[in-house]
Amino acid sequence: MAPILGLGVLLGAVCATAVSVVETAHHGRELANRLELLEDQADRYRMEWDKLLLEQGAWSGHGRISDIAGRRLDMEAPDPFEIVTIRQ
Amino acid sequence: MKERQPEPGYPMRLALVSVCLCTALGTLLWRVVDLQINDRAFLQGQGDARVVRTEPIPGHRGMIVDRRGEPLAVSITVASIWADPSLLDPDEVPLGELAASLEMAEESLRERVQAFAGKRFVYLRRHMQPAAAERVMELGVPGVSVRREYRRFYPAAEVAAHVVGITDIDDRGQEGLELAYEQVLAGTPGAKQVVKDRRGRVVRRLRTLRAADPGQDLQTTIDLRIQYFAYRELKSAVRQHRARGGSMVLIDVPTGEILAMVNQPSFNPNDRRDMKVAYLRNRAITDSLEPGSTVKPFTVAAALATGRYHPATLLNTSPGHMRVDGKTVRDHRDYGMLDIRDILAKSSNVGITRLALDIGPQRVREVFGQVGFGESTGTGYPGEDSGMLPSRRKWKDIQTATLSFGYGLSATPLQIAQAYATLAAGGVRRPVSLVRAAAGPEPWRVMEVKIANRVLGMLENVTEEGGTGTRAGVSGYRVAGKTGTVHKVDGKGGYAEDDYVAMFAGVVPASRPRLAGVVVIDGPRGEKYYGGEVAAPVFARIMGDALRILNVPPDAAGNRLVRRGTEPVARDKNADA
Repeated sequence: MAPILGLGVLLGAVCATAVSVVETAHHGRELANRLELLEDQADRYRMEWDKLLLEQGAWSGHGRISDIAGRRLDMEAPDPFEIVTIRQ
Repeated sequence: MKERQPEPGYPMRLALVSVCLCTALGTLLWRVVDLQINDRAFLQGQGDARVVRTEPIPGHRGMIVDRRGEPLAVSITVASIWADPSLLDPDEVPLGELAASLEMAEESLRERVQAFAGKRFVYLRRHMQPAAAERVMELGVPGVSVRREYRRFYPAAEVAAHVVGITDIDDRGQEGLELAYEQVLAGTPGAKQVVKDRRGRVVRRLRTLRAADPGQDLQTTIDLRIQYFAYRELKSAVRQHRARGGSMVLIDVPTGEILAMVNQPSFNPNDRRDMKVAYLRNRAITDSLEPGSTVKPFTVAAALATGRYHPATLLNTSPGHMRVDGKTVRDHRDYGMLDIRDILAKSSNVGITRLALDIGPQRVREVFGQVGFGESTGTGYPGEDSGMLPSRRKWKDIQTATLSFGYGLSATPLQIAQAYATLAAGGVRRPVSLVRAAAGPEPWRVMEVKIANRVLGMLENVTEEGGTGTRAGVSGYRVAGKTGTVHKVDGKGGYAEDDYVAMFAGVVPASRPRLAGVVVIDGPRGEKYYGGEVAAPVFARIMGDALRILNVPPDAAGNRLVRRGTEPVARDKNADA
């Protein structure tokens, strides 16, 4: 009986490792997919950020700001004599 | 079922069939073993070679930012569409649709594909918006693929174009800091393995071989706010005086950092269609010119250092011209007896010549060299000109004279600004820098404090009533500076009569120097061409803005300075008058 038992144990072990190999491979694939998804997401955020940067560049251009301040809001740079300086 | 009858066999036939079947089976089995075991490595390799591809992962190039973190150059994601012409048959695919989505003419797309017919790779369109590229890919044209790339975008456009420089279409530095700091900025591309089908579509991603390594950000010393004002004022002055070009450099005296550096003409690095190579030159660093009268303060410093002269020492400049080695040194008019203070205020060539001839050329040359003329500034900017400071064993008197008022040597606007920053720092020379945290040499003293401060004090007279630089006055601040009007060399061994460079170099606030700067207007073609008329007002406007932005307290009499804790008196401006 002993040899047959031993064979049975080995067979069981082979089956177990086979299943775990499949399991690990599957898990690995899942993780790879997830990584890809996350990388795609990072890419999209990056592109979004690029777009926002471009937008910010267009809206906050110094030329545009000084034009709005001067013309539309009627602002002007104060003369130094109009500025009260507070020494700490 | 029919009952079987033992029949006389055909043993030979059975044996033959058995042998045949076994041989066939054995052959098949052997073939299986051969393929699976013996040739496995070879076959797997061949298979992989057909489907597994190594794809680059682009490394993100570092940003260039100003001293406050405002971006000056950023890499934005773009998509480039490429095709494998061997898979792309122009007659089979909807070429018109593809061309439309690429925003190209159908004909030019067809030509492009046919021109590269024998190749496996051709860019159809580079640097598209990612969203537009997605629409192209949605057409599903076989053989057409997308590749992600980065394109450099310069939010400050032409305002900081010269300092920042540019990259080429492959994101490699070509000019300016982009080139000088290529090693720091450039990202290292990574690599990944993917499985692709015959049409070049990615089926499965296998693994990342190397992660992409992004480049580092580079922080410059530029203050974009000041840079913008400097650019605006310089541009309007160059236009107003119909000048050939101009430069402006502004240095933070306590640190030696360059806060602004602008040039005209400039270019828009985001749209290079109208760009000319000459526009790329950062004249403030790459072009040297004769500094003219702006070096006179340093001749005076050399004279004061001998101990034989004092700001009030009187010299006779009559009759307003003098012969030196058969050449004539002229003043605008006969100023008569002038003290050294007035020699600077009136910019008297005769007076400076008398000083220089008395103390000798070596002393003058030594001071010029110590404040940085004739040597590299060490900013590391590509194409820097170190200027030229002559060194001779025997000096003719005329050579001494011309040197003392700024001819016969050459300097870049940056070198002139550096010299004034040294004077402003009480004679301590701080290496100028364009990049923050760049380890430079320690500051060192090149001039006695007493002498530097005396010269600076005298330069205040230049901007006061009766001086040549009154237009450099900044409301609320004391300004020390010097005008310069230089005849340009005409290329025939002489100086052109009507081609000038107008300059103003100065320091503000004079009582506690914070900023040193120089304005150079090259070739003003209007009626005005003197440094005091053309360059000084630009200097005044830029410095006024810069001082306000940097919150530098005004030091001129008449300002309202309030100690913290005391009540600031609210008054309107009419009540002040």
